Amino acid sequence: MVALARLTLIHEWRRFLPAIIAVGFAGLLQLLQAALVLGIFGSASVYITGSTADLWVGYLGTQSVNLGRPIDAGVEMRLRMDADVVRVEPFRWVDADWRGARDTGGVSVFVSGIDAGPQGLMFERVLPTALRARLDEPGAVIVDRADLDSLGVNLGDAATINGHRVRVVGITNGLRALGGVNVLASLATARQLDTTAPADRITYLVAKVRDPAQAEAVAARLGDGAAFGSYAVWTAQQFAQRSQLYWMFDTGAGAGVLFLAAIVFLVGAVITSQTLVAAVVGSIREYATLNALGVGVTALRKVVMEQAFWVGALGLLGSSVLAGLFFALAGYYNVPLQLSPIAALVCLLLSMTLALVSGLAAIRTLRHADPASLLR
Amino acid sequence: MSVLTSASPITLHASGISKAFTSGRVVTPVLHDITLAIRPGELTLISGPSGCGKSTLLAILSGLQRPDRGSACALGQDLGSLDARALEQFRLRHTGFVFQGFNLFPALTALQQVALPLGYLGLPAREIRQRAIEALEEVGLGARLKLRPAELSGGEKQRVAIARAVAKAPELLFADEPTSALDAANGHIVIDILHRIARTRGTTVLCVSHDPRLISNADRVLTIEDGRILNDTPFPFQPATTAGAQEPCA
Repeated sequence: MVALARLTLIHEWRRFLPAIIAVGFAGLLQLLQAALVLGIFGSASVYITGSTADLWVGYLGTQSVNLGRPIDAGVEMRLRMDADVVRVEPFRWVDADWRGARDTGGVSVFVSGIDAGPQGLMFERVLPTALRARLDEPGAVIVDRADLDSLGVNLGDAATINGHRVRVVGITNGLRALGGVNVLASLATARQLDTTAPADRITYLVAKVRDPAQAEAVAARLGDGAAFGSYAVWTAQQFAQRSQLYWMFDTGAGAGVLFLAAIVFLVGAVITSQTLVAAVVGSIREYATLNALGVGVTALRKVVMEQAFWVGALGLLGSSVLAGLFFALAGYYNVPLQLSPIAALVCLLLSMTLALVSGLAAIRTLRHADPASLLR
Repeated sequence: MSVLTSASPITLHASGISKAFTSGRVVTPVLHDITLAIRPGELTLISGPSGCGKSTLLAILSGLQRPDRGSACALGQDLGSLDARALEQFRLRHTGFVFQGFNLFPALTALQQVALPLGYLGLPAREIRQRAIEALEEVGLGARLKLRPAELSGGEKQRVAIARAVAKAPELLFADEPTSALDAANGHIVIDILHRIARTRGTTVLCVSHDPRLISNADRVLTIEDGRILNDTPFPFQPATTAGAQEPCA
């Protein structure tokens, strides 16, 4: 069988180039957008994903980790009494105002007061034990490398948080977060910086259970009691998801992203379908001749759909290569990009759908391939 | 109006065909009650001034259009009884077309142009290639199999188009102004090829043209004016037909 679709695509590549570029750019934009959304909104839960705790205990109904309200510190006893809980530690969240060594004005920071001991669960994934131990020093803080500029400090510099003097004793990676700058401190330091919280209350309690597979059951059991006021128990995964969904949908940011994705899809589809329509129109007499010779309309439609498929495939190849380059660049500049294989696949499938929908639009043009019209 | 009552088999038969085109409220009659019969192994020419309805008659006889009244019969099959899909199948198996514009795909070589419709007949690849090469050799393009339309002259393009139409070995070959876009020499070559196909294969070749060069080479000339057959001239030379007998439908 003569591969009409492919041979035409190769021979008339200039004609198809706009469609290939349109699909490629749509694919690239979807990929980058998805990676940025997942990266940025994923960073909203860095406190959870960067830690090794299985359970999170916070104020009842807390929608996102950055919206925590103090709970009764007595809940800690309730956790420790459970046979499946092997470790409990408090996590104090402080919204604070930072003044750096250089003139940066006020910077809004999130201070995470964590257990500085070697067994600490909080930020275990991003904080080496040696670095964590340095937090024991009063007034010691650790910041992310990417935030040094905005905080106006270098390693060893002093700054003030909520009017208290602190010193940067360490720098780490992977703390970059949405909405503000993360600063790590010991529980004692954070308590000092927190000018408003009552002494016997804590923002969160995190816990490790004997068998992480049972975390859900343990969370359900612990969340049951009505003593110690309003609190809720989530597994780490539930709470991370809760935080990410809050940022994605309740803040309107996700809606904006979806809107952008729809626009990209629409513009890509218009360009691609117009290009394919032009290609069909350019060959309409040849298609009509084939139809006169008895080649069915269905077979001609298949030729157009095959062209759409190849346009999509070439576009996606281009977008995958470019996305790889952009990801490397983003990694170099500490831009939080994160793309799961499933999300990447969905993006690529969307772009292929775009190409095929455009092909369907172009198919309608084939109705002009009437062989009788050649007899004029 | 003349109906041939010769004893030779009839492959194309029109009885009482009328056709009009409607544009808004204006109805323009194109064909008036045309009845004719066409035999195989001949080059039959429909001639007449432009707008006389000759192309419409070709379209109806080849099953590309339906008449308003009357019936068209090809190879004993009433074309009016076939739906669009069945008509496509009929054309695929039995008819070839040559148009004034050559309508070749710019991306395909001569060999691929000819092989393309053969692929839809479900033939094995080896046979497709064989038949395509033979068809191109028959029109004198055996040395130009690998060339694309841009590398061929107008006459050569029309010969590729003829090869594409006849590679399927159709019983019916329709040609619409096949020489109008060609110079004298190439026009002659194309006429000779069409004539040879009719004679050697026993194909029914129905040609529409106002090209006077064709008139002197046709076996039979039907002159149409204002949608009516004015004249039906059988030229003296009648070849022996080889095609199987086809009975006209009633």
